[in-house]
Amino acid sequence: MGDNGGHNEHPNSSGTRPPTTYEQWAALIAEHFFRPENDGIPIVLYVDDEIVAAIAGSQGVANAVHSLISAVRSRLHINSANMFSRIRVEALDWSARGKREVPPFTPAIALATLAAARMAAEGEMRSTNYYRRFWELLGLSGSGAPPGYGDTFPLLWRYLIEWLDDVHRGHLGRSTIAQGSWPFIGYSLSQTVMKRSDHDRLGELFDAMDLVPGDTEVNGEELLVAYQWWAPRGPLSSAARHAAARPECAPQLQAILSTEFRLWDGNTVDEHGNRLASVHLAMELSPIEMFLIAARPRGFPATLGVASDDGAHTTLRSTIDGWYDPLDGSITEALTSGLLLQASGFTFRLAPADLIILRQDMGVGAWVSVREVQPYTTHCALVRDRLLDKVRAYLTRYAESGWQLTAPSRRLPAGWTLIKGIAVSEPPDASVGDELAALVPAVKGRVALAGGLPMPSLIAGSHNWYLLGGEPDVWVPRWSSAGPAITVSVDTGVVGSLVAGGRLRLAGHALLPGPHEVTVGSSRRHFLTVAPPAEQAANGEGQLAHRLYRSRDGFTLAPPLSKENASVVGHQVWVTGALVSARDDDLPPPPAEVIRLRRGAAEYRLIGAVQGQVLLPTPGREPAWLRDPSVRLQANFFDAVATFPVVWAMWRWRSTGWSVRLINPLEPVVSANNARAGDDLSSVWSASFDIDARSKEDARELWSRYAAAARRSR
Amino acid sequence: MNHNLMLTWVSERGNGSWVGFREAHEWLSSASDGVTGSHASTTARMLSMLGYMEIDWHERRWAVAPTVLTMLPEAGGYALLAGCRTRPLMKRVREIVDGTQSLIVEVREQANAPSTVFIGCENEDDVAWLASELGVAFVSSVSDQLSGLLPSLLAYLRASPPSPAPRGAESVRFDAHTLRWRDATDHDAPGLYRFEVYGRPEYRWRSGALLAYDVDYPVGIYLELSRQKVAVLEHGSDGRTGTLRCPVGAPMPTLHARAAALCNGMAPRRENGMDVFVNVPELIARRIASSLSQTLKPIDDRRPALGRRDSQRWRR
Repeated sequence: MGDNGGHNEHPNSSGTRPPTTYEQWAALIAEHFFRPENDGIPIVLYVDDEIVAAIAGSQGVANAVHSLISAVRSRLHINSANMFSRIRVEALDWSARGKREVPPFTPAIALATLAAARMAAEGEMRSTNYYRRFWELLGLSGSGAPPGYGDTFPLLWRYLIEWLDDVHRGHLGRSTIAQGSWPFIGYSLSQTVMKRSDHDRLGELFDAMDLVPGDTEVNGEELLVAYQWWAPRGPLSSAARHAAARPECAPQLQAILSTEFRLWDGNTVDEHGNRLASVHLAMELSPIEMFLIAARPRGFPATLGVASDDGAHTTLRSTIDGWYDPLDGSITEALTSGLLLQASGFTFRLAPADLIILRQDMGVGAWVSVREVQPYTTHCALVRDRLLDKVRAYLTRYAESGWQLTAPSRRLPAGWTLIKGIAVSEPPDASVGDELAALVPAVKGRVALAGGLPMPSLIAGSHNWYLLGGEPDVWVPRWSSAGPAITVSVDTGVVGSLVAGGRLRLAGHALLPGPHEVTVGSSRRHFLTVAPPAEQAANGEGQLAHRLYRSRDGFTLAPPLSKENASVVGHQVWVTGALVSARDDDLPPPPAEVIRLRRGAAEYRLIGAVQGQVLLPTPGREPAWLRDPSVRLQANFFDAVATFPVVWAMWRWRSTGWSVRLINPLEPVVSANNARAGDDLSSVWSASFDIDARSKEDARELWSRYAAAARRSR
Repeated sequence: MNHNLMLTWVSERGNGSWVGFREAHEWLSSASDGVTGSHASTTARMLSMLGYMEIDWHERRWAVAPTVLTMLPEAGGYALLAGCRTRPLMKRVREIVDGTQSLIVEVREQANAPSTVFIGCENEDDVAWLASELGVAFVSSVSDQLSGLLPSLLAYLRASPPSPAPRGAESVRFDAHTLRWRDATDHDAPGLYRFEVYGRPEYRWRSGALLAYDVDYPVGIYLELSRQKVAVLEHGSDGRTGTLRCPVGAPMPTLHARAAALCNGMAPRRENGMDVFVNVPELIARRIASSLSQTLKPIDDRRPALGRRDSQRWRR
């Protein structure tokens, strides 16, 4: 941890004697805070009574504090013009020697910080209050700044900063010491913005922000803004809450939050240091059946004996990933009063609420309570009747149509109403009170990019790739700003502003392909837009297909080896989109050839290779759908289908005479039988080749052979 | 919703999960572009019907279909560009067509589907040449080809696994006479049932025997219509071609709908509670109806409109 470099273990618990002298205290304090494992990490020299005891390693809190005070007092000249002159001189000496050793003045610093911590814990942040506590700690009577305090302590703090950041270059931890707005005491105050127990509860903040350990997206500034919103509502000491509201504490808070997040293992703990998990309401709808289930975060045992706050014991067993099996007990009572289950090292909680949002959970196979609605997703809500009117008003205004109150049911807890089919995809345009906060859609507990048209990453390990024109939206959580609106910038240009709990579309801002940085207040998010190049084939094109098989009675879907389909006689036929792939034998016979002829000619002939193979098609009227106002296509051609292979298509323009087009280059077949088969058509067939029709050059030789054959046939 | 952008994304992404498709669809639907949104499943079925993509509902995945140029029947000499339609492909199509005298690109927008890209030609060979230049497939008449290999309802049933009704899910039963879903208290009687399970609805069709079959929605509908001997498909001729009408409440299975839709490449028009597929030759309509165990009815032009005033006028 940032404030003590590992406060769960007493650094002086290895059997050494408790410190009594100033030098011993200096060594132990340095060992406690300044450690190689803090390399590059911002550290906070938070010292309260508990930490003094932890540093001392034994003897109880009061004795440890007394020991520290005695050690510091041993260095004081109480009646001197500067009662800290000896400490000051030692520090100057140490500095003159190059600041190579451990700073000799850390006990004095620790005492100053202890005074600040005591003041912070009690509220009033005033210099007079600070000095009063400092005098009390020293066991002396006095008011205002002790003689020499202003000459000594700022110097000590500055030396400590130099020793950490310059001499050791942050290898033992980076300084978070800052003067702040109080010239003399600001340094001490800067290290007392949070108690140790407050540090332990920060997991709940990170969890509320939907962070995961190792997340590199979030920075200290953003953590601070979230903390400032969360602290008044969070399970923190009054000192920490006060600090959250003090601008001068911001640098220290930011440093603490960054450090704690970097060290966070994903767990949350309660005020007793037990790992914390939540209890959820779960529901099936047909018929309505409600039950409670406890989440099973990573590292929680599969079987766990727990006791409720009324002393009842039960055993939690987990048969599905991430959850324990349903709990026994009264749903109504749990919803009204909450639920607390405890085991050694573990705590499970359900907080009472008047509005419970539920979303389908595939893992549980039921609707499970969630913190808030997600946009674009259907939810149910269990609403206590006293809040029902407000919820209905909100849904009427902001939810998509389709939500409905279910009929009263004995299966629901008395005094509660179930609403189904809730989808809230747009954020409200006005602020919403905490009681309805669960109905404000959010994609994450922090500024997030969501929606858009995501593309597969082209670089391993990178993410947030989007199709050009399908850039994501920016969603801002409710905590992001107390002010009226936050400016949103992409790269260097402002693209808009939004209120807390709002959404802004980035698509439509004509962004160029490539990487982009979105800035929303203190938060920065990154994404890339891509426009796939022409030569790149779509990944997965044709990957899915309908697989059919030719069978004795048509086409079937079952594979040939299945006993249900012993009639399969062919190989697989793949249909994907408009493409059919199969062996020719397995496909239906191809349709008759369609010859497309230009409309407007006076007459048409389709001529086959065999004498008598003649069709005289007519265009008919234009297909009506082509004239539909939504289509309006000019029908320049019409389809003609012959029952024989067409060799020549002929048409006669009134102005220019006949034209001919070679369709299939087949040689003419003329016989007496053909001639007898249809005299009229045979005559037309033969006469057609007497026509001096315009044709392409490559067809003229064949046309000549047809003309010769026609002459021979007469 | 911007269906063209949806198709561009489907084409350029290539494939993905159903959840991803639904999220992209929801995002596009929420865009304030003035076009009404629709359900993701409706859009997916429409894209699939028009041959742009395939969906595996059981595996919850989708993949874009290959680009195909195909001639349309009785369409005045127009071909259709179906399947994968990336922006680079469209650019290339225009470049090639602009360099020829015999081809022309005609793009027609639609309210509930991506724009249809028609290629006007003087003869089929020009379109085949264009396909070759683009490196895509050419098919003479995909609607005819597809309609020739449609599986029968029995074939679908043989491929459907027997499966008990999902437990604890809300259910409704299909009424074949009104084409509406009604609350169901039990699932033992023969019929088609829909269960609202987690993630998507599931359908079970029970023929009267002990077994219930896990069927796709449209297949289940036509199995039940067949069991109840209810004919719903209508066809009317218009010269050499015709119009196929299918009730909105009884959508056809994908391949059947695709065979009809690719007769003109456009999404069916919605009129009086019917999906109207235009330019469907009678032969294709008969193949579709036959494979669904349906008897084609002539189009009833006296059908009352859904609006109250139209309905009253019809009575007079």
